Amino acid sequence: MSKGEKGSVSIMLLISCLVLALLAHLALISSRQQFKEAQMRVLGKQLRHLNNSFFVGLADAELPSGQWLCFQGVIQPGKEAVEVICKSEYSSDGLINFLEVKSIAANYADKSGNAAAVQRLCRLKMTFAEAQKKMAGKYVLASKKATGLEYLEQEDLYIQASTEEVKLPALSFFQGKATSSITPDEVVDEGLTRRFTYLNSSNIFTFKKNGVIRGQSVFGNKASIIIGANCHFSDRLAIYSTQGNITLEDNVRLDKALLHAYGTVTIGSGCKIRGLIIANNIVLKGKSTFSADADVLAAFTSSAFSN
Amino acid sequence: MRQTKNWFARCCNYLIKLRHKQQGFLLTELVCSLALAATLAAMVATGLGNIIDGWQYLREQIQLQQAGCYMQSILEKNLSYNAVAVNLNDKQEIAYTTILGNKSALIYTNKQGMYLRTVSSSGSGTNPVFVPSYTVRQWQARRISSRQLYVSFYLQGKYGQRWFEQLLTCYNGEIQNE
Repeated sequence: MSKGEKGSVSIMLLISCLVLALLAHLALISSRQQFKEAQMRVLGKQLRHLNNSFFVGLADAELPSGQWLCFQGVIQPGKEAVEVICKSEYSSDGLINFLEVKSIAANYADKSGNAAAVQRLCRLKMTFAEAQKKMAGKYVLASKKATGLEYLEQEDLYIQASTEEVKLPALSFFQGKATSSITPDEVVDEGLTRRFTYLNSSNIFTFKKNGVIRGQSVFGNKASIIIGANCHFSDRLAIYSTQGNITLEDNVRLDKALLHAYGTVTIGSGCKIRGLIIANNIVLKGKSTFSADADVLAAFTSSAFSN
Repeated sequence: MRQTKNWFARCCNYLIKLRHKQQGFLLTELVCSLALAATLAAMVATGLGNIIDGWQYLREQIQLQQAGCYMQSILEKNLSYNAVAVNLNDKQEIAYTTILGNKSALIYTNKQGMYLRTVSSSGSGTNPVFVPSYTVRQWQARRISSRQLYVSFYLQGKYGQRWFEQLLTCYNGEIQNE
């Protein structure tokens, strides 16, 4: 080694050591990150299982309005402090119940880094007014006023209803809880959702003609609803127009349905309806087939969903 | 060990003597250095090879774990929350109707891959539920109860495989064997 290169070996060694140390550190950071991700994944799963097991236990129960702490403890790994909270809420008329079970882990951070992450499962349950239930098995048409009753072959299927009997449920309670956006094309393509639908819209909603629409559901629109000609709804259904009318064009088939409108329900000719139609005013435009069904007003429970 | 130490000491003494006498020292030193360098190079190469192999294996295991978790999350989302009526057939295929009335789906394995076929009024489409770099083997789906379904599968990579199993609860429907 020449005089000018004194200490060069030491510098080289030092640099190599630094590089190795850096690589080791990077490996450590990477493995720590992987470990943290795996831990979060397991924690998320544990939290979901815990939350959903409480939900299953409570979903069918008749709960009063209120909020309860169902569980307070720790889950593994990491002895994470967890709270399971159940909330039951009723609409102003007491006909619609919203159940929410949520689990909160104080220090648990999800992928976006939010602390206090929440696992949540909810369901909606709708019951019907006693006055309407009484009508369901015997009558198909119930309204304060009616036009075109001469087309009705079985006159005893119509009842002149009182204000109490034509009263709409507080459907605005669905707002922020049920599905709030759906297009006519989506309805034809995918059908109605079991999560229930409430459109707080001033636009008329139209079910396109010739559509075969499946799905056990409650469907509400603030404005009017038009059901296109030859539409067929094969599953149990409740359709509401809370501030408008419902128009059924010709040859509509409803296998098990409740139609309830604030204004007028207009029924075209050749329709085949099993269920109950309630409105302030009913207009028959031609001959149709009607049959009563008490089951149409049995309680409706939505699918479990998480917001 | 003591014998090796003695042998090493003797060799060193001999080299020192040679260096002292300056007889053929350069050649012996060169040969020894080359032999030592070759041995060290071989050791380093073997070690590095093992490290690289181990690193690749570990990296693949991490990727397999991530791919498996992705598949499990899709299965959980579709079967636990979106399925209304689930049917299991002999081919280990899971057919279900979704919470959307006109939409149904089928989860099946084909050519070592897992796929989700959805059918709606406007037509049908198939999407892979797996990461194409890895193959799905020994897929199993078993009904445990009317609400619980057990699924398991292996994900096979280039260097190794990983096993995944999951117990799914269907919150919106019931499971039936066809």
